[in-house]
Amino acid sequence: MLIFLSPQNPIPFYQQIVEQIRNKICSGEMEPHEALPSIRQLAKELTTSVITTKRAYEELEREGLIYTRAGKGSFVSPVDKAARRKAALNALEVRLRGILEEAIASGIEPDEVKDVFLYVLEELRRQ
Amino acid sequence: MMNSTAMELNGVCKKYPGFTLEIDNFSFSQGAIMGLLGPNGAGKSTMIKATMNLVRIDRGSITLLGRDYLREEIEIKKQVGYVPEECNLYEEAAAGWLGQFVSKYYKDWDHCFYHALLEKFGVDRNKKVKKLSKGGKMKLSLCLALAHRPRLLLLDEPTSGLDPVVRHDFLKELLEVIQDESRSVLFSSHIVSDIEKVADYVAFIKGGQIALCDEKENILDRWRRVSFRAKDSGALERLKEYLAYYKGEDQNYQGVSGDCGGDLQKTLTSLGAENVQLSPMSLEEIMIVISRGEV
Repeated sequence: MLIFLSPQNPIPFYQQIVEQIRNKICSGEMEPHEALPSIRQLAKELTTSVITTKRAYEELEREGLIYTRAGKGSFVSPVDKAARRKAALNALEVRLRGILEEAIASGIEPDEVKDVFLYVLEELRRQ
Repeated sequence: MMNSTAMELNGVCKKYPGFTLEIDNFSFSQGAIMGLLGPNGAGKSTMIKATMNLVRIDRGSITLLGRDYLREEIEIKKQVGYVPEECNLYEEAAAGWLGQFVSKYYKDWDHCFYHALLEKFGVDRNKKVKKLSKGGKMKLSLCLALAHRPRLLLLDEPTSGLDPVVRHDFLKELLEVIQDESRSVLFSSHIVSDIEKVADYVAFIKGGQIALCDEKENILDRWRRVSFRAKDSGALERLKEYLAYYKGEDQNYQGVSGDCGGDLQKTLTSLGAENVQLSPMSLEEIMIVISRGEV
């Protein structure tokens, strides 16, 4: 399982792990019931702390994307298309919330936010 | 065994002229890496030495791997690997000979593993200690401490003097150690980024006392840089409770909060702060603020 942690990314490491595994599950790259590396293995692979990978797995478990069997490890949950979509939408909401909070704090009006949002979306659609 | 402690200090006190080490309560669980941070002279080495009975404490209790550190000292030390800050290996000996020598003290010594470690860290087994660089001596000490696969590793400033590549390999080796959930590591360092990378728990010592000790993730979650505007002194008085340190002029304030448990933004706003802005802090920033005692 390839995961990249970027220290330059302001998003905390555990969240970077959550997002990348979530993407792999939602895109179907990881199959239902596929085993994930143990939290200790993953920590070593990424040279990060066990507590960080543990927190990432707990978060994924809360989202219902993975399940854990005591003594056996963690596995991808058999999520259907609707559930995957819901998880992806939830993730989008979380990320947008962060961006919008910043925008509001720097004094940008809601209408302006909407304009920029639609502009970027339209541009992406045209590509 | 999963939840037993790797190390526990209670009411430990050691007085020197001009310096007192006073650890009321300190512990961390097995299977974890504890990073010990603090400025020079804060008591990091003294604390580690106390747990090894190299410094005799005036009072208090210490357990290592759940056992009393004095009553079962010999039994415990068979399961502990300790690397002191100062290299005190025989200058005239080489790594190969030292391995033979040290192996006699540990029934679990693994020669193959020792030589594999020397190879991995690039230590020439035929070179005398006095001919090794500072980093080379540290690497050799680490190999000697790791080769009996101790259940508890105590490392005093292990990464100072090592180049970035070797530091990375070394951190990986620590993570390898704790692949086994019954093994644990405590290491002190000036290099905050090393601790930030791999430590599960972080303790910060200042003036001989533990100023902060928590799961690393909790520390990073809770501490925030805060800026806000407070128009009346009553508001500031209420806000103070949430700020570890602050400074300000003309009703504009900057501070640091270690309290970002709930919704700090809402809490501060409801207490009369305006334009509240929060930003996350790195472990290094948090440590600097705590050491200085000011923003």
